[in-house]
Amino acid sequence: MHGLAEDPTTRKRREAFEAQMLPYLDSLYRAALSMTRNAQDADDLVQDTFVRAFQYFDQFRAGTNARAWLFRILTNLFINAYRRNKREPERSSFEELEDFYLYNRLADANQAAGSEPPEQAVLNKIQGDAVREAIAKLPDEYRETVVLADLHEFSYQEISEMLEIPIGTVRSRLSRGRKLVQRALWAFTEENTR
Amino acid sequence: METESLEFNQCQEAVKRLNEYLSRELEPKEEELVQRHLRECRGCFEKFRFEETLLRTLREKLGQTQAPAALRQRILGLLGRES
Repeated sequence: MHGLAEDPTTRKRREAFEAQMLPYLDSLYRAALSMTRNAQDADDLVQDTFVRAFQYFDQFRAGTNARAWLFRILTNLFINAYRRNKREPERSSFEELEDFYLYNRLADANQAAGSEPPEQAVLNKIQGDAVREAIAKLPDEYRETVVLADLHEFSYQEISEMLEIPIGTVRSRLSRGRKLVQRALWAFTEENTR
Repeated sequence: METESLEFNQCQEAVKRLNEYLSRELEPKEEELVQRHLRECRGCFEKFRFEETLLRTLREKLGQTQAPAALRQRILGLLGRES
């Protein structure tokens, strides 16, 4: 499979790469799927990420965070190759979005029905499809931040480095992104329970 | 310490810190202030807990997907060839 010509040094390098990096394949694939929103592009993005990472593997310092390193490569490739608008100006919307949007809607609905506490209701109602759709609907820059922060739990500092944006921008995109996700989740839940 | 607590004991101040609280980005001292408020205010406690549960739910719902076996094979093949 790996060719007859592979010498011991090359093989060692490849094996070290596989041992350190391949455990993150599923996690990278999930991120790619959320970012690109389709399986074919996610496949290509992940494949390109591993090929690129392998090329630069000598620059990776053993013992540092391999997951963050891989995600930085993936994010970079996504922004440069897959994202439609690479460096578009921040979409400035002045529309204020309500805090606790979903909690408030569910509390209203439950009060009307005189039933369960909202927390249980949301767990019961939210399906994988709804989550995927809510995240897919986000504009690129909000989607990247929400995916990295909320689905993959990177720190603001790490996200700031990956996306090459100031921490304040991470903060504001996440704040707005989370609210947009809640609105989309509510819309989806409403549509599907009628 | 007493004044700090009183000044802080406002729902608005806690809500301002919601996002960073959820991301565990608050300084330990700030986090403690939020937690203290959550112990004292049932309304905020329930809302914050809801937000935490929601984020956990989102992670769980999307955390199951695995990379296709064919992709894994293709990557392994490429690494062998690139060597």
